[in-house]
Amino acid sequence: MKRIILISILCVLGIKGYCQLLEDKTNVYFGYQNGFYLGNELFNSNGTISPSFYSNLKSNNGLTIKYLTNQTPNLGLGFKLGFLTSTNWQSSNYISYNGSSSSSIKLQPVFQMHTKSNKNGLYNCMKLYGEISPVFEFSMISIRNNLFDIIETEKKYNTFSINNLFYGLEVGVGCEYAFTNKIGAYIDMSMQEGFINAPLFLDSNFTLLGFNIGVRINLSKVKRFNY
Amino acid sequence: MKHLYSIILLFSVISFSSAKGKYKETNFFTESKFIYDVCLSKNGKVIICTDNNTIKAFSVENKKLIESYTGGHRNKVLCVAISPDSSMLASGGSDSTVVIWDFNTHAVVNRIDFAKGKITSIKFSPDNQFILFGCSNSQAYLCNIKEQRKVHEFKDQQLDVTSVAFTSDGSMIAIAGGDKIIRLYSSVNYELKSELKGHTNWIRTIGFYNQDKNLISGGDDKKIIQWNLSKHESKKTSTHEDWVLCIDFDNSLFNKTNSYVFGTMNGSVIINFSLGVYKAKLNSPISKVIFLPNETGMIEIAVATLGSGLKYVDAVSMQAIMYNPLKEVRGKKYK
Repeated sequence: MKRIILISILCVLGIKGYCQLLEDKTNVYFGYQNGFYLGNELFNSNGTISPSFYSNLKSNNGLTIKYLTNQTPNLGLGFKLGFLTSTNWQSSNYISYNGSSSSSIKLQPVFQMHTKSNKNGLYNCMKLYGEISPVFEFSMISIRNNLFDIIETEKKYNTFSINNLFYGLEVGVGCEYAFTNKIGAYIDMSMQEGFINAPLFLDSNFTLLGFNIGVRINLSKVKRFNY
Repeated sequence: MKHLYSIILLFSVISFSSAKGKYKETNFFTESKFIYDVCLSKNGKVIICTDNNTIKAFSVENKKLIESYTGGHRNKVLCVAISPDSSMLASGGSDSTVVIWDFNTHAVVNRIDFAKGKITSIKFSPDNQFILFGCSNSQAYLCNIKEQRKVHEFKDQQLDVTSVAFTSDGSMIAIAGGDKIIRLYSSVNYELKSELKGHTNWIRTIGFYNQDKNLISGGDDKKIIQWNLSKHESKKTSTHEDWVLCIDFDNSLFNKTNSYVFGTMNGSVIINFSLGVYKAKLNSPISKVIFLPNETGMIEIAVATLGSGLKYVDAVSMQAIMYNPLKEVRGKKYK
């Protein structure tokens, strides 16, 4: 993953960008997200050791769509819609949730602080930004709850589906690069803290570290761009 | 992982597809890469451009700096014009000040500072007596240079004024801007003669041509409209790839062939004349483009960009995007 991110950054920086009038008024971003849940494989709840549900979901892929309007040269406001699918539950000692998955839809109001576009120099084509956004997430979790935590009986299981609405907070930092006045690319890293209350597992919160890469399409430019 | 590689590949494709074509260009040496306006002296030998808070004059022949006009503005200069007799320069800027300069001695002759908005466009009257300028606060003013007084204030505009123009005989004034309307006024009694409506977004540039029988305009609706002024209607409309920020009509060389050059927000410079269409792609928005006179008949242009400085471009080396036997007629005079 690190190699991919490094290659992506080098690719982006190696491409000659267009000189920008970056005070674009509205932009829309389409991105791909990959990430992993932070946290221990097991946790101890009142003396009971049990595997974590989220931390052991190893494959997390998603898509994001973000709409942002620049209110001032440094501040952008908008919202983000994200779709994330988490599969491949793995734990070294347990098979409790083997085959389980989680699909979620996230709606986030986004507050973005970014570097002001300079007429010359590095920040002419590149924008660094930091974002903070409350998360409202609708999660569809399919849990394959194995009846016995022993390998021999792995095929005996029940599948439960639960829909869960919860909230969280996401912070992120990233970099946006403009190829033309219309099209650019971005790469960023985000960390989401989610607070959940699900009856079928003991996790009460999770931390998702996400890596996002995508394209930016400019919808409208500031009219008074030249004075 | 496959998705990531696909996205990286997409970036590369976008990058290579946006690479500029090969054409002959020479840079004029300016302090800033953001040149907002440019004009040409009467004899066509000196090109004058804005450069941060100053104005610079270059030799068209050898592209070398002749003179800097400094000390007139406290903030960046946005527009510049030269009087038809090439005795005076006028500049307007972000400091809401219009400065009249003696072209030869480089001294400040007059300073007009009653305007409230930023000065976005400026023109001399053909008789060198008046100056017309438009502002970002939707006002336009006509001033008598010698008497140093405001003659008239044009208040009909609803949004920023982006372009002003005089007819070649000075009888009419055109003002256009963000409200999408071109207003034509008599310069005798300042009466509103006509409103030309056809653009659907901000108008960025206007100019009279064909002995003032026609007017050409371009704007953020990506359209260039050629207007028939006798009927007050649009004669021809063409749509282009991005906002049209500037147009220059060459009245001397191509008057009979209806030729013009224009520049767009995405950095395209397109010359449209009877023999075909030529295109150059620069990396920056084109703020102003003008034809340079050339005795050999070859087409040369000066291009002011927002980000890549002031450039001289030889049209022969530009990419032909329609049938164009220009190379066959290279060297012939169009006069």
